Amino acid sequence: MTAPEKARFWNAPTQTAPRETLDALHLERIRHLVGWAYENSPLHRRIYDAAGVKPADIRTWDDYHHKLPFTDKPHYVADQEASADGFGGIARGPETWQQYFHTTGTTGRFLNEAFTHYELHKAGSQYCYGMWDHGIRPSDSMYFCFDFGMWIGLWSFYWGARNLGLTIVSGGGATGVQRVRQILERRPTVVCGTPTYLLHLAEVAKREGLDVRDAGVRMLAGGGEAGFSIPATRDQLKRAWGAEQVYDAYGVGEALFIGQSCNEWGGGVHVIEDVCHSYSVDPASGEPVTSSDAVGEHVLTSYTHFAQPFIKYRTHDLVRIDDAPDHGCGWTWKHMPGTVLGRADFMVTIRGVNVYPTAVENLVGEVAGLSNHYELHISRVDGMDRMLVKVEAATPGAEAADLGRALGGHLRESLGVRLETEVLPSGALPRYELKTKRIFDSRSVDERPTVTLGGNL
Amino acid sequence: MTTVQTPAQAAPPVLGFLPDLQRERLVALRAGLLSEQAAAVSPAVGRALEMADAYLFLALGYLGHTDELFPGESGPEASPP
Repeated sequence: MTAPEKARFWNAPTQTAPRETLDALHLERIRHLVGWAYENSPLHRRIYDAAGVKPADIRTWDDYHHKLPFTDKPHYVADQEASADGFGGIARGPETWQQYFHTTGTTGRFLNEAFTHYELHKAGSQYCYGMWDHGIRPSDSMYFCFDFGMWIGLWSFYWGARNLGLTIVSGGGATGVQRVRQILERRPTVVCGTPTYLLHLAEVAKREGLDVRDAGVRMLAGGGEAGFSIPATRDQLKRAWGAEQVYDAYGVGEALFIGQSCNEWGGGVHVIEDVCHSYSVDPASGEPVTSSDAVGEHVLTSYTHFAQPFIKYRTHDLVRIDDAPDHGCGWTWKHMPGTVLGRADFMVTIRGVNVYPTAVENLVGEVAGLSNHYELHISRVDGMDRMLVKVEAATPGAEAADLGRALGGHLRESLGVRLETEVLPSGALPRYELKTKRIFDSRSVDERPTVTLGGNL
Repeated sequence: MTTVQTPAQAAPPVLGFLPDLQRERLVALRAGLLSEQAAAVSPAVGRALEMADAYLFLALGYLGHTDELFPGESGPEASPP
């Protein structure tokens, strides 16, 4: 093993730096990035202008927390659908893109994402910190159980493997049986796939009279589902494969896997602070959460996206963040015990259909004649969830009944369930100086969906 | 439980003597690289140096470089002849 391979950390200068040093770096990068986005992304300029904020106004953390507006997926989706090239929030032209992808669309819409050459590799670098901590070295190898398509998730693992210097074995285009045989033949150190698929492969092997435990795979890794964070699934995977390690990573479609587990604590992830800034806010107030015991909505700023910046971006994931972790790993980077503990969206079940406010919000903006001022009122009547969508007409004197029918029809076609709608005259809904309140949930605590918070509270 | 501190303003970041020294050396190395890229005698050389710059910039990022966000931010990337 060479001297660099014996190093304890992938990048000790930042990975073990004092919190004050890290925060100073973050503020410098964020200020720079806000200026870049304002000058080059029409979407960001519109958002910041609407908030009356200029880049020069963002000088302190207080400015970042209280002056700079949040951004959210609907901003990008709306911009994407209005743009000629089909991408939202773009700050660099297509001539600079090397590859593009889309998210999984679980919140109602695909979001197209563009990457330059540098950004691909910067995004790939985020995997190296955790992999290195788990003892993975350039002499190791990684087998990929997926076809390289438009979904970005496991592609980024591929960039990570390249950054770390691993030998890559592609299982693209192969059947399950072929993959099992390739894995047994090539004996990779790491097998990368979704948790469900990795369990499936172990079953395929059994049916063929084979045993994937004979491959000597040391680590299972991947993403796309919560399984790698769930203790029971982790144990099941370890048993099925005879693997020593199941690698836990936390990904956000717009910033990729920005959380990686260290070797000391498998039930949570560290924020990779070389590639993003991360903090949490009270979902109701937008104020920063200041206790490591409190759960808040995760908000991030990515340092891997410059062609399509994501700044103070709402993830809607509920997390706990400890900014002074002390569990023996030596990393000073923020830690999220339990990884993602729930979603900040208020899910509603209407006639058996799970409806997420985020999806409704995405759809309201698609009906011609309606404004972007709306409220979602959630209630429980006779044991049944109901959602009333109140929207302002875009112009005074608009025919509310016609607009209401159009909105109701669009929601029913898109979501498969009928929601109540009410179209109000232009200007009828309240305006807020700070964070706009759009969702009003009058259900009691007992009536709301149970957020288990991963059983980690 | 620990208390998450709202970050306070701090002096310009210093990652330590050796990282800072290496960052300075790499900034100088990059200036030379960009100069060679601008003078590349073929598209092949120009593109190879452009890719080299992306990897060099990764190293700068690891060392706390904040003067630029990404390669090419400061101006149009040199086009190979």
